[in-house]
Amino acid sequence: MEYFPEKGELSVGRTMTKQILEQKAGHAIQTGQVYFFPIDCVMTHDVGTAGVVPLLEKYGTERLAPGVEPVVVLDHFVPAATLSHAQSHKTARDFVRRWGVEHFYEIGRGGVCHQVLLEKGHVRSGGLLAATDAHVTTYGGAGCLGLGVGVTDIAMTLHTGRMWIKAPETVGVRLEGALHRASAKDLAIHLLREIPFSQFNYRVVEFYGPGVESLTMDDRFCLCNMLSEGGVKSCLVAGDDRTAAYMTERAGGEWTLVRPEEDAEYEFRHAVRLEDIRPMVACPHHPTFGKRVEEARGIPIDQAFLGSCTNGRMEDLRIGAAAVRGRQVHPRVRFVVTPASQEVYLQAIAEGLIQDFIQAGAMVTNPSCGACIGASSLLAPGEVCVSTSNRNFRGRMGSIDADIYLASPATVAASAVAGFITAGEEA
Amino acid sequence: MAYVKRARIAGVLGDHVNTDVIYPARYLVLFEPEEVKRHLFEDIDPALAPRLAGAGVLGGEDFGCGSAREQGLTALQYAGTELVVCKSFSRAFYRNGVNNGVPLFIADCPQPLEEIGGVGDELEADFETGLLTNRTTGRAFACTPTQEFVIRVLQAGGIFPYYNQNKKELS
Repeated sequence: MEYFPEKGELSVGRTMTKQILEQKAGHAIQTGQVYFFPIDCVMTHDVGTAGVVPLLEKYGTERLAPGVEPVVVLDHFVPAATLSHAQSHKTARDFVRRWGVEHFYEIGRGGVCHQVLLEKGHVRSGGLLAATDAHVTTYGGAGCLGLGVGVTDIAMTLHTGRMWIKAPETVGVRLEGALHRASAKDLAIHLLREIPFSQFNYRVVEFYGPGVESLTMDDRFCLCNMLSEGGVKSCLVAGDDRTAAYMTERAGGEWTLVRPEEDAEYEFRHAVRLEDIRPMVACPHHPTFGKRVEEARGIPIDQAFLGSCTNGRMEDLRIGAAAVRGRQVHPRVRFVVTPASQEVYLQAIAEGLIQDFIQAGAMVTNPSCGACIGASSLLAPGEVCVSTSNRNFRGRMGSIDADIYLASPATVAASAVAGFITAGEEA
Repeated sequence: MAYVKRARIAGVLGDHVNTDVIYPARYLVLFEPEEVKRHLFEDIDPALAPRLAGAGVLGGEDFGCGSAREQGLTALQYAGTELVVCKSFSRAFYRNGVNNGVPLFIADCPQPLEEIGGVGDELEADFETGLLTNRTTGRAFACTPTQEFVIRVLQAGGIFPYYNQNKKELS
């Protein structure tokens, strides 16, 4: 395994965040200070791209900054159900052609942006990536520092090659043991409940310790994705053999494993024994309103949703399919299943999972942000949804008068069958 | 470097005001100012947006949390909001404010929101010293000064004009 080389002029006791940022800057940086950093890759989805286009016109951009890899993915309003969405897709395609963007994922050839960027190797361990989407924190699971920003930041990065970043403070979370009767989603909801916003805000959360190696890559992506809701600047998971294997298989460029140095300084430290984590549910209307599932058990549901950039990956679909296999979704419930990408979708077909879902009475949709952002499968007033997605704000999935509970794939699938919130019989 | 902003508070909002309620996702494809400002707070208080022209907003913790969508910020800007004072901001929302030259003041004083002020009060925020004054009640609140870089960008009117003014050093 390779690590960032030690250089005399770099500061000591470095967090992963500092190692990545100093490597980009080429010199020592001070926490709290603002620097303009070169960015490896910028991703915009359909709505982000449509917002960047007029800004580049305003800036008089003549060429996109060399050294920045632009990636465009259509995923938010897919397929287009209104003319304004069709127009925004067209604007994105025009952008791709106008600037010769090499990495463009058309409808039917990509999926949910964060899954696509991982699968297609745009996410590289040790890299620095910015995107017009808050769940870019997902990439921390592979050791890539992802920053969620608005369209101005992306347009300026494409215009200048650099983005201003305040070198952030960090929170260290040491993981011990292994998850036993719970999932990474339950761990994330637990952490969102336990660690206050005042600690998360503007800080990067770094996961390390012996428990990391028990987490699969899908677990790590889920954890880093969900922590976005705590207000973090980003997340990073210490690299190991699993990270190296994932990068070897996927990365489309240079990568470096990153781990915190032994005396790394964190503003706040936490330790979690993974065995202690139990199935959780985040109650309306905020992801930090976590409870043990048994405290919400029995609440009747109208819709269950398995999908999103949080939990639409292979491991999630396997768990969901196993829970409904040979059973029927409760007559009062509709169960919406959305694979996170075309690749995941195909693999799920190959493994027979899609058949399991359909036979159980679920509706399998095309990969997209869909139900999670209230673009399709909307909730009517008074309805209740249990969802594997990451946000349960009022109005997020449709009516402002609907209730959303966030939970793991196991809990969501078990609830779809039961008709009410439950972690299933074995939990 | 003095940067002082003053506005009458037209709306007081609580903690965790997320970008889905500031600017609903169904309008994400819109970027034209006249269209964007029409949907500000549409789901929670449609009457608020017209009152924000030339006025200010007072909010609690984690204002602008959730999505990084820039319209959450620009909708306030296009509606004519001149000052946003909150206990804390979500980081992407704060960046969007700086980048667009919209004064967002972090009121991290120990006093709770209710003591800072209410609808109709005139607030004055001194970004350099961190002093927040309620000109209506006469009370003053000591907050953390805003970072020098941020003040300079705000003074320039946003990140693009700031970049143009400092191009030599930045490239």
